[in-house]
Amino acid sequence: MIITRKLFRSLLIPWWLRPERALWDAHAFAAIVRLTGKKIRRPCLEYGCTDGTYSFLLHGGELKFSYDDYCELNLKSVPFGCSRKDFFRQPKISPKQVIRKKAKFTIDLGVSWKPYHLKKAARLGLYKKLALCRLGNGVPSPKKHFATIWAPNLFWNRPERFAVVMRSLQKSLLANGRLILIVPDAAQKKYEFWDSHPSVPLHYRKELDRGIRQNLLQNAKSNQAWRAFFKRNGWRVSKHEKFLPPLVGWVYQIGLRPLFPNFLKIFMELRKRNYRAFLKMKKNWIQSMLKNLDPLCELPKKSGLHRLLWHAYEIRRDRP
Amino acid sequence: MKSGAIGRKDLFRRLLGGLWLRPESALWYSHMLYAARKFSAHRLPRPCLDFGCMDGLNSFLLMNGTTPEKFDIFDEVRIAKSDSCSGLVGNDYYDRIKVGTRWEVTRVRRKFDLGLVWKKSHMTKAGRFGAHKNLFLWKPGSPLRDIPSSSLGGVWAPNLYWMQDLSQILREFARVVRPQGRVVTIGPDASLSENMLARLCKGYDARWLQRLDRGRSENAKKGKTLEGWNRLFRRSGLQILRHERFLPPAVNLAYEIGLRPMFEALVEMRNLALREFPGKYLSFKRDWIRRLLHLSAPLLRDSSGASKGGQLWHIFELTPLPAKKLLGQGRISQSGNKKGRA
Repeated sequence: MIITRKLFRSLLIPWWLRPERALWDAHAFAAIVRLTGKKIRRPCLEYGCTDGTYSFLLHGGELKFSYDDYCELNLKSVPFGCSRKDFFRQPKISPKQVIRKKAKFTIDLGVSWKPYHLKKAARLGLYKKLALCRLGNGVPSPKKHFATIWAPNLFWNRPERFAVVMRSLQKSLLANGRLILIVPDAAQKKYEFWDSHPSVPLHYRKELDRGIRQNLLQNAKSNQAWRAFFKRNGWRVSKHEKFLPPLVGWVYQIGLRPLFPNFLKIFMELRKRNYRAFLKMKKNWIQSMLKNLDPLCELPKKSGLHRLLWHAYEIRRDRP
Repeated sequence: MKSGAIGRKDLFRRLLGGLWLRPESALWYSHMLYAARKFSAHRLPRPCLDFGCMDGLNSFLLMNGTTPEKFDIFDEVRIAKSDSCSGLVGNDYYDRIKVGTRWEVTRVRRKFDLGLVWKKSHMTKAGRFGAHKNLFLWKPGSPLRDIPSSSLGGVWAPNLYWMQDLSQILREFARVVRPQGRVVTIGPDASLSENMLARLCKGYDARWLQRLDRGRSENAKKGKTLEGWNRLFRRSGLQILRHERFLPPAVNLAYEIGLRPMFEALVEMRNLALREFPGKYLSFKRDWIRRLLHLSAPLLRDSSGASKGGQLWHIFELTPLPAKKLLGQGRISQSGNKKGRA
């Protein structure tokens, strides 16, 4: 689990106020590293690259310690409470240097669905090209072009759109190309946090959950059902890994999300008043998170694969 | 609303004023204090004893006290460099006093006649609230030597379950409380162990769990069914007058995790904010509390997802067993002296 721990540490630098998210992603990306090894054939497409941070860190890039995902937020757009509004929608993106160490890999095309994602991703020097694309729509690229497609967010698509998007990705792949994706197992339903607390009133649940439950569950299927689904749609599984212990899933579903706007307001003020003290505090905060959440980077002892909640697949065209 | 017109939400709000960085503790205490007021722990027959009043905040709020907005228990928390990230066991960050600290708290109408504490710093802290006429330092596990037999009208004992030897201290209560006097106390149900963080994190690093748990699982092991508690009380010369259950599992779950792992980081944030923008600091704290009140509303309801029977803690009103019954149980010798008396 060294790779999970290493990724968690790197992810905490931009996401220090949302450690639960850094932890979840560290588990997911460690599974991807186990799945793909170090060889990623190009040309490569990242379908759903968001702001590029994750792939940048995954490929050995390092961010400056002073950079985080909040430093460019417009505080006025951060509402009091947990509305579903995207806090990050209108950042003041400066062209300043945020990189400490370049990534070891280049992704030929990064695609995301928000213009500010692309602006932020462009600063990382990871993508040769970036393009805007609506969630659930196909890829704006020539047919049979990519050797590898990495699609970290396919599960955000509604089930009825899932196969459609996959067909479009299939068209963009070379005959022997591969698609790498992560999807929830049916067990995610069993360990769904809110379903085990049915007494929490719906409006509170909505406010705290912010649509995450739907993202986690709408495409949840067993390994067998996923394989059948891939086969029906002209794919075969060439590699498979499971990841995410239930406890990490639970931590993710609440975490510091409810208090995020409050933390943000205090820290933004501190950053403005005493930058050095702010950086020192961020350092101590991250150390504290590492100390207290580090064991969650491990799989619990005697945890069978059946108890892990997510799948990572490498799939290829069934009939090249 | 019963409980002397203070609801859980009101108690939670008052607790948050001081415990804002540890909302899970405030939530737990609001349920406990609500149950205690329902059992009239704030209106015990005189003279009355507060057994284990800690820093006095809970006793003060039980007596309907209110603290000023600036009140903050973290004001006296100091985390030394050597403490930082060194783990949470053994570091009692609260066991410190800032000399000259004064809080403009309200005066409470009713006071406990006696308060027992087991830390020197608690003597000073509890003294500031004025909810006790006299405070005494007591060594846990020792008899209540200075309290004559049958001299008290009532005892409020919120920390009884911390004691190593429960029957020893219960026998002492039976001795010091006069016939028909009252003891109000709480204790965990046998089912609490099943709801602890340790269960949730089964299979993870044991030392890490121990650090997060801070000994609470040991206390949970003292949990008993109602029948179990009843047997213990009767063996110790007490009988149950009234019983209820409190603390829904969802509140326990929130308490088990809460912001505890981030405590050191939060205290640093608080201290820096206070130093760097003292003018704005209170408005940030106000926003924080407002947010927590809103978020915790479902957890302050009566059941919060559990039937009364499914709640994890018991609250009891006890009274000494009449001499006849004690005689029948062999607890009193023919000469009238209680066995096990100190």
